[in-house]
Amino acid sequence: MNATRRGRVAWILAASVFAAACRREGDDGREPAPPVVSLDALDASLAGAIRDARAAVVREPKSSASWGRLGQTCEAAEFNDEARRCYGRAAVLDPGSARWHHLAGLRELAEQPEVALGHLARATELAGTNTDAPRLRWAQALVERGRLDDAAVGLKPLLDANPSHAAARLEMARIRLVQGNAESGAEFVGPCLTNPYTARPALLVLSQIRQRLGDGDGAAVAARRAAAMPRPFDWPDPFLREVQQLRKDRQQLADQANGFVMQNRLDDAERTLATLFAASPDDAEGLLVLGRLRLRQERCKESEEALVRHLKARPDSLNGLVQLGLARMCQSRWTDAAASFSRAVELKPDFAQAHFNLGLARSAAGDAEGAAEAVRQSIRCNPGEASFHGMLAELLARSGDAAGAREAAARALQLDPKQPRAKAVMERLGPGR
Amino acid sequence: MVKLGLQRVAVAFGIAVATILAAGCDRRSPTDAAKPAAASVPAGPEWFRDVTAAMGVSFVHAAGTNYSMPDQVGSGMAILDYDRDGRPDLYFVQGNGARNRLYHQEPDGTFRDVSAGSGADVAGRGMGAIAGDANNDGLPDLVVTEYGAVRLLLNLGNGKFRDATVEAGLDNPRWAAPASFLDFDRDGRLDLVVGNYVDYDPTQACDDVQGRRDFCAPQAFAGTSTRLWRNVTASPGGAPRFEDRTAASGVSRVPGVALGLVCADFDGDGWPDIFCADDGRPNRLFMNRGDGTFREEGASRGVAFNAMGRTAANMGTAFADCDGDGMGDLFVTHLAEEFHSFFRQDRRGLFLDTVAQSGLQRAEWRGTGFGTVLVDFDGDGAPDLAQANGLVRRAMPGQTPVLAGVEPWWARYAQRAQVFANDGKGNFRDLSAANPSLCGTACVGRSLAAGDLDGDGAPDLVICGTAGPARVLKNVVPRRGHWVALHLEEPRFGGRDAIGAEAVLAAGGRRRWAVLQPATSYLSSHEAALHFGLGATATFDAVEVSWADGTREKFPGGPADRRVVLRHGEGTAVKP
Repeated sequence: MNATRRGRVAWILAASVFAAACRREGDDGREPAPPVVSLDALDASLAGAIRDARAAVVREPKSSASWGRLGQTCEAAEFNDEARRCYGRAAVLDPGSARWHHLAGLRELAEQPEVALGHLARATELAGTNTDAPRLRWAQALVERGRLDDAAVGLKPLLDANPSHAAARLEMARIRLVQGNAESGAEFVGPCLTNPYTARPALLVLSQIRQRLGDGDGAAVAARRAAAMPRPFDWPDPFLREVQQLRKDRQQLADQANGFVMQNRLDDAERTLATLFAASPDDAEGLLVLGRLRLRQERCKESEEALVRHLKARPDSLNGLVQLGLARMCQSRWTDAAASFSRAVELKPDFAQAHFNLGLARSAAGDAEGAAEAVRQSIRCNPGEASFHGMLAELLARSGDAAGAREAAARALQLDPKQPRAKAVMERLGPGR
Repeated sequence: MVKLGLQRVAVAFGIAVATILAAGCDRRSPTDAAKPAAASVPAGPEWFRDVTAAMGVSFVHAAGTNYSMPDQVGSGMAILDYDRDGRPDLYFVQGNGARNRLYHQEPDGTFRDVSAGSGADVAGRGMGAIAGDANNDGLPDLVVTEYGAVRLLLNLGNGKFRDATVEAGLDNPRWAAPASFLDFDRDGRLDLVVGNYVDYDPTQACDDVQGRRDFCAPQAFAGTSTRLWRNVTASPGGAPRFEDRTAASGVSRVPGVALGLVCADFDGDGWPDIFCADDGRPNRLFMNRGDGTFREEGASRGVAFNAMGRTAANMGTAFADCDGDGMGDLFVTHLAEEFHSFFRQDRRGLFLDTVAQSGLQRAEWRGTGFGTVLVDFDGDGAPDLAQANGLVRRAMPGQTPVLAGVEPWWARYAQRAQVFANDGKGNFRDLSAANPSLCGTACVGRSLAAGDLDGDGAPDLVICGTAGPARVLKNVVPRRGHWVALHLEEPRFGGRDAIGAEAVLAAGGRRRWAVLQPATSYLSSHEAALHFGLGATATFDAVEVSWADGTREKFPGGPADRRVVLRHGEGTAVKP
């Protein structure tokens, strides 16, 4: 009997039990009531989505789509238990939907793992070849529970259909590693190294494999390559993505915009902020991100304006103060910049970067002694940062303390042999006696 | 094949029925999610009895209620015998600016608060405490970590301590959390590691998705460098002196977010390494290269990520040989929505997260674990596991009943502790239901330390949580196996505890391994002794000790059920 037939037989049997077991609900003819959650403090967009979804369930209590949608909106707002119950109901009303079984399974994993595995297995069967996410997640859940052989069997259809399936191969590599078969793991991991979703975790697995095969240097190389890569996105899951897309609250938009700025996707950041400000023109977090964005764009005056508005709402915002200092430095207003950084280190005495920036600003303003003291504080907070030692070396050299400058430069070069300020100091002063 | 096919139908049928029933007929209330799924039948006699009041311990941890992260992270405690009278004493770290407390164990076994005037009653936003002899005068000193500081409290020998931080050259303005002594250069002087936590922004307020104020997550902040100081104290008993080797050792090259530490020789080369459990980041394992420098190798050695290759909220640590193969296994606690990690050492220096195979996944419920110990409570020769739990976010409801004395504001974060019995092969069974004294009430569990407080050969527990009372749990396991407790001492260095030494005890045809490293668990420090359960074996054959300087000695065996002091230099040398 093949797996598909076994599954069908099981589900026919289960359906009859289900019908009997759930007759209680049918007895009184009532559908379960949709969950009620507190929307008081919730962002308006999320609250509205939940309200609408709940109203739809009230209107159409036998609609799996309505229950599922309510589950999705609840999950987006982290009403996880309510989401779990809604997905469960949606899966009952539409047992042929992979989506609801998949989402129900994911929600159940923490509390009722065996129930979760049942949902995920059913979602896998229902999804067929339309999407690989349910099968992958099912296999991962089996691995998480130590059912390595079952997981390997579960992954097989993916690999049969596509022997280069990166995510499936990565899971297989992990399984083989835990089973003590590093060589086999190595065979699986190869094609994962070029897939953007799996390259980094695959390198980490490869690092382990190489270490186990006695190749410590190769292990170190793989680990270093992995460390240098950005954190990858999760393997695409269309069902989860639907939930994630429901998050359009202010915090989410501000975080998203900030992420775009960090990734230098400035146009995306601009668009996201526009969406945010359309709904909340004075959003404090948004203004901070806007200040950061304008600074990145070297529109320093506009950056300062945004940050001043941000600080008006949040006067003690450390990030705001530091960004404001940078925006002022960008305009060569050293004393004003120093004032911002000073306030930041007053609020957070171990703020290494703010101490360092204060040193830069004071130095540019001609306060060499104050600059050196600030940089010393930055080193106190973070002795492993080469640029701090390099800056101190430069300041000491300027003040005529050659021995101190050499010592600081030597420390910087020990940490980073290419540290430019330290190199320049050493070249200028020579090695000394 | 047909039979197998029918079995699989049956299994699939079972799963399907369970699925449908759960999905269609589940009427649990939201708060039920935090309760055990079903009332469990106690699986045996109780292992612990709460003797806090009888012992005279009345410590209550203080914490603020304004969602400041340092309130949530602290605080820890240490079990130490500061006056060397053979009876372990207790030191509790306070939060929220209150004073730390020192309890002396009196000859009648009760504890007396001797904090006032001791010099150990410092105030700050305390995190953790460890005990170790910083100047080789034979007296355990205290290192206290705080939000924004680290302190060395020098034991003066008359029940008094003196803050010697500045003169010792220790300076750490960061948020210091775990700390550990180790002798990384094997010169006989205990060096110091301090794990700094996040680069916290005290002005940042965080709300959850539902718009409620809550504690910020560590991911909101950058990581920091773990600090390493080399002990350069000039002479035994002299003024302690440390030099900062953070940058020169290479430890600063890989910053992190340390909440737990294990300093031990992970690869068997005779040099102690440093494992950092990093909250929400990959764990770091700094391998000692024997020349004063370290190289981070957590990923390749299998301890950086969990079994699924993911980072998780790594917090508390425990290190013991759980499967009897003569190598230490590493347990790291995580959030309730994650899995804990059980990094089993299957080849020296190489680990695999086998938590799924350990039985720990089958716990009745999953807690957000902080302090944890691997100690043989029942004396069967296999270290058992205990764990303090407490939530960090409001998304999951707290458990009830809440321990009396827990500040009501904090009750929403309360969870019950758990205890698991080890079958000797690294397979664990949840005994929490049978242990109401330890596991029956919820607190915001953080520190957990083990030590034989009453000298009966059975390791007891001390547990403390945020904004709640400390509890002393006496080990009352019936029909406990025979035991030996080893005290490893360094006569050349003032007779201090030989932190970092490993012992292999042979008894009844089995060899049991342990390392003397009190500074594990969470912000805590255990009694500096090695407890070995021997089961039905009433004698032990021999003990082989690998001292921290790389030498090895063999000591003769003898009758069990006693404490044995092994002094470096008094055994028979064993060639490597």
